[in-house]
Amino acid sequence: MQKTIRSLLSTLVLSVVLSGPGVAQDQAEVRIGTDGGYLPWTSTTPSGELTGFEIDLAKQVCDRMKRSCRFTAQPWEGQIPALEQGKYDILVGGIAITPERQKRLAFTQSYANLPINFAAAKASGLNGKANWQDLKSALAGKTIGVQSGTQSQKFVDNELKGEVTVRLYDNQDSLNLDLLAGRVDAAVAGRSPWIALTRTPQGEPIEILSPNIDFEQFNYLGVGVGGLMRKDAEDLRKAWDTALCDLKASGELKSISEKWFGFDVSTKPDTKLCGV
Amino acid sequence: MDIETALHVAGELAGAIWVTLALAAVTLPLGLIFAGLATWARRSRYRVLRGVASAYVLAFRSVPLLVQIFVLYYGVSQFAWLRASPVWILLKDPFACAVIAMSVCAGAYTAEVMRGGLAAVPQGAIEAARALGLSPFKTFLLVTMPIAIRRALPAYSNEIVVTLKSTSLACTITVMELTGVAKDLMSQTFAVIEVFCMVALIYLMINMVLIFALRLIERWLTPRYQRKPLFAGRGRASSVKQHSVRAAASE
Repeated sequence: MQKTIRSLLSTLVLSVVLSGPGVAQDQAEVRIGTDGGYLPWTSTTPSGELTGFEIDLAKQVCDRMKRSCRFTAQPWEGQIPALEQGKYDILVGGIAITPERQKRLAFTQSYANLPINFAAAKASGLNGKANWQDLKSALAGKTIGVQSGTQSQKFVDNELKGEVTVRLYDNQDSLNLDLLAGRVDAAVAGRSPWIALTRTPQGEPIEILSPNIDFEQFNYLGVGVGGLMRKDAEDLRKAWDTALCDLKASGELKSISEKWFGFDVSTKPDTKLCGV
Repeated sequence: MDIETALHVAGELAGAIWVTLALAAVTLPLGLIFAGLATWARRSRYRVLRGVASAYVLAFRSVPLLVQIFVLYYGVSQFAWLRASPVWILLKDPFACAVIAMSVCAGAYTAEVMRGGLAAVPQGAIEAARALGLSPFKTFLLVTMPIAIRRALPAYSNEIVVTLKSTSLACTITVMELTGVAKDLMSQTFAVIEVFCMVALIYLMINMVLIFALRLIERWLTPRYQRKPLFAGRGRASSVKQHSVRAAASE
């Protein structure tokens, strides 16, 4: 009897020691939340596997941090609450770095930057405008689709409010479907989903409209895309940033970008974090 | 959340109440029409008609409303020939799609409510009416229907509340009703708990008014001797019991 109690106690003590905070931090999986429906950033294959630019990138980062990572797909709108509740350690998936988000949460350094673009049917005659003002006046009175909670929505709210009818979508795939069906006259998103869409056979009638909406031109749009995490996860952020510095310096980030986007979307190493 | 944000959120949500109410207000009468047709068809003497109506009720009660909405909105729009047809004028509009999907679904449920109401009519009452020389139509209008409506109303009031709540699914196809606006506000302000508690409160208040109004209607349709007090207090409940005992005795 005494033996059993003693062995029980020792197991208990052992398990407490093993699950102590120091050990847990090194061994615990990094739980990565992502949208899984936003090509080429993050996408789900028909067999249910996650692929995409940021999945490849995150895998590389995890390798360099020597930590195992687990990916979970969840629609974007629920991701931030889930992150704050501690269900994820980091979110990736074309998330723009913005001052509002930085108030509550922390970002890794930016690793990609892409302009915002409008897309519409080739037959719409909206393409070929020389500057934003021309495109803006051509869009007046039209129905515009945009994914909610994105920088593109912010752009529409700031620049087109009251002049167009705005339809909000939960995800890019639904927006694509309605653009193809003609329920919206034009749609707006980061450049990448339009590249992905126009490459598919069913996206053939769609074209990307000029001009590009550059982040430099509208500085409220932020400085690019980063990984989003809680402010208390300082250790993970540092490790992630160091890995990103490595990937940027070695040119691996560039090659992942070219694999998924067909061109280089990567941003320069952060001078403060990478010491260059 | 600071006062300014709270006021902004409250203002936006207040505007969206009308969209929610409009969805429910258009859906419910249409659902009633579909249910009436289905109930009529299910009692028809033609087997084919009965079969079609039963299949409709079975199918739309069994498939989740969200799936029905998606099939109608995203699924049907895949066909180019349909987009070229006049039906597209209706299906192009997200509000119309939401109303069609919801009313067809509500119709199937309401048909079951009607079936239950009709089944609860005592056969003796119908026979008595026929024996008094009332035509089948008059029997239905003066005896069967009033009793059936009274019996079906509690279940139907449930259906009304469910329909009002299911309008929240319309936001998945870009109709900016309460829940849709709330999701948008949430991504703007990140104040998840605050925004959704406000939304929950609004739904609660709308449904409280609805449920109370329906109870008044139920009471109004109930014969006086069967009426129960609106607010069941201890003292009054016993007096009503006595009253109904007396009423039953005098019958």
